[in-house]
Amino acid sequence: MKSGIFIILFLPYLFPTFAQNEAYIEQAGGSITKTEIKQIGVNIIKGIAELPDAASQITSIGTNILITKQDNVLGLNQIELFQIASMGNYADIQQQNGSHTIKLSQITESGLNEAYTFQVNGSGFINLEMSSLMNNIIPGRENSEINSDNPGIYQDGHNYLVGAFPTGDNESPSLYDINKPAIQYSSIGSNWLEVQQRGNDNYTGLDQRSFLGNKALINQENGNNVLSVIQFSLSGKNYLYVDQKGNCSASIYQNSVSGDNQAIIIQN
Amino acid sequence: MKKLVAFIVTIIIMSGIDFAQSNEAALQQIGTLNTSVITQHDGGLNVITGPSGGSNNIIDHFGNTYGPALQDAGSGTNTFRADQSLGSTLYNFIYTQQHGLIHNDFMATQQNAGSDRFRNNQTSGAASNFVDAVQVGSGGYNTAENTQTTEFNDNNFSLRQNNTGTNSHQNYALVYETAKYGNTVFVGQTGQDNGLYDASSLPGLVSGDPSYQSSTDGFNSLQVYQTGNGNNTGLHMEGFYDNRAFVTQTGDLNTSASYQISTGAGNILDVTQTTSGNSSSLLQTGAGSNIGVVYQH
Repeated sequence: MKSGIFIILFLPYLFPTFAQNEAYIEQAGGSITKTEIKQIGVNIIKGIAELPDAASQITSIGTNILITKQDNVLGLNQIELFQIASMGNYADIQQQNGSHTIKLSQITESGLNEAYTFQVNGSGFINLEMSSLMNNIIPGRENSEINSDNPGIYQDGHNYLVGAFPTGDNESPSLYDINKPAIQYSSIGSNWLEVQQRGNDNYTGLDQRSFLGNKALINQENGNNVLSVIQFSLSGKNYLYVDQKGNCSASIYQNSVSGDNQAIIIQN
Repeated sequence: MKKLVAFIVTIIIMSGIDFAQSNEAALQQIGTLNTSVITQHDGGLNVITGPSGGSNNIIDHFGNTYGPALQDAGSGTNTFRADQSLGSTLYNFIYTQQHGLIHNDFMATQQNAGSDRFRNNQTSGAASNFVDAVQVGSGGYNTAENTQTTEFNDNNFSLRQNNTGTNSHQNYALVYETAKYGNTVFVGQTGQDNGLYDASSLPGLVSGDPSYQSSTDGFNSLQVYQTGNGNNTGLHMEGFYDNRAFVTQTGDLNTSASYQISTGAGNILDVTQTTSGNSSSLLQTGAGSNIGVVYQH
């Protein structure tokens, strides 16, 4: 009997339950809109209103910045974010322990879109859309130009990096369609992206279109690797470096109207 | 102990471990200077092609349909490098198409215990085409099909095929060159049943003429070395200046058939065949001297 009471008393310590953390963000105006969030538990960051469902940072005269870290041993890490700015957007999102989802859309009229994502100890899903008059970049955190241990996008589970947000209520992985690749569009600048996916199944769909050139460095390790890349440039160079280990499939389309194309593909 | 081994084997089988992974790369490049460097290791199947569709599809060793990997440089240059030689692989396959005004460069190394095959098509508007390829196998087929066309300059083709393992089969090469000036071919084949001619008996290959060189204002040059039993060379050369062919076949059952036409100069054919069962036929038509040397022993 005593031992039963003992177990009941200490049950919360044996099986800790995390409260759900929900952060709702809608910010508008100002020269700099900056938010830093750290959540431990069941973590959700989204918008206040139902429409748009995503958290939003909007400034017509400045820059948006969001830095967040989500850690959940048992469940869900989720962020949906729209950033719209005249001067540029910056997002640094870290998720660890759990099932991770990042839906990120950055739009800027004249500045730089810059993003970093880090998803570890769990399956990762990323929807990405970047649109800029100038440049869109997801370089390595150490500003590398080759796959490093610290790329701009890092995933270590069942990994998806794709584009347009899935439609429908059931956002299952099957809805992450290769026909909806992650997007980087630059009107007069260039695009740069570095990805490292280390999981059982890795899937990347990427569409880069720019005036001055596109650069993508992609590393996929373990399991089944699927990659589809489109690079279109009006006057610059398209550069693609791919390193795949496991079952490997890479589909590459490069078109530079008045520039060069270079593709380096290593499949092990 | 046996039960333990059986249990482990069962677990491995049930786990669905795929020992023969595959590497597939589909490539399309459109620009002024197109460069691709592709390395494929340790695949049960290593494939470099383009998307299927269009009228240029071909069928691979296993009946799969592929279109060509495409490099279109417009007024520029294409460079293609492929290495399918590392690790353990059962089948290597490359299908490419290069088009550029300046020049096209294709280099491939294929090596495995099974079959190697590449098909390459190069067209250049104003300059030269280059191919340098190596195929090494210890079984299966080595197959190379290459078409080069330049409207103004030279075509250059170099191929080494080695297939000498216990279960080795044929080395096949089919070369088709058309140029304003010179066409140069070097082919070295070592194995059993070496052929420099149409290999239409293999699935998916074209049928038609023997290897072909045509130069409207220049010369044609070809060297072929075949070592093994069952060597076959079929050659058709048409040039304005000299047509020069050197054929060396070592082994039993050698066959050489050559057809040379020169509208402005002469023809030279030098054939050496050893050891037994040799056959050589020759037709030369020239505006200058025709020289045919056939050495059989």
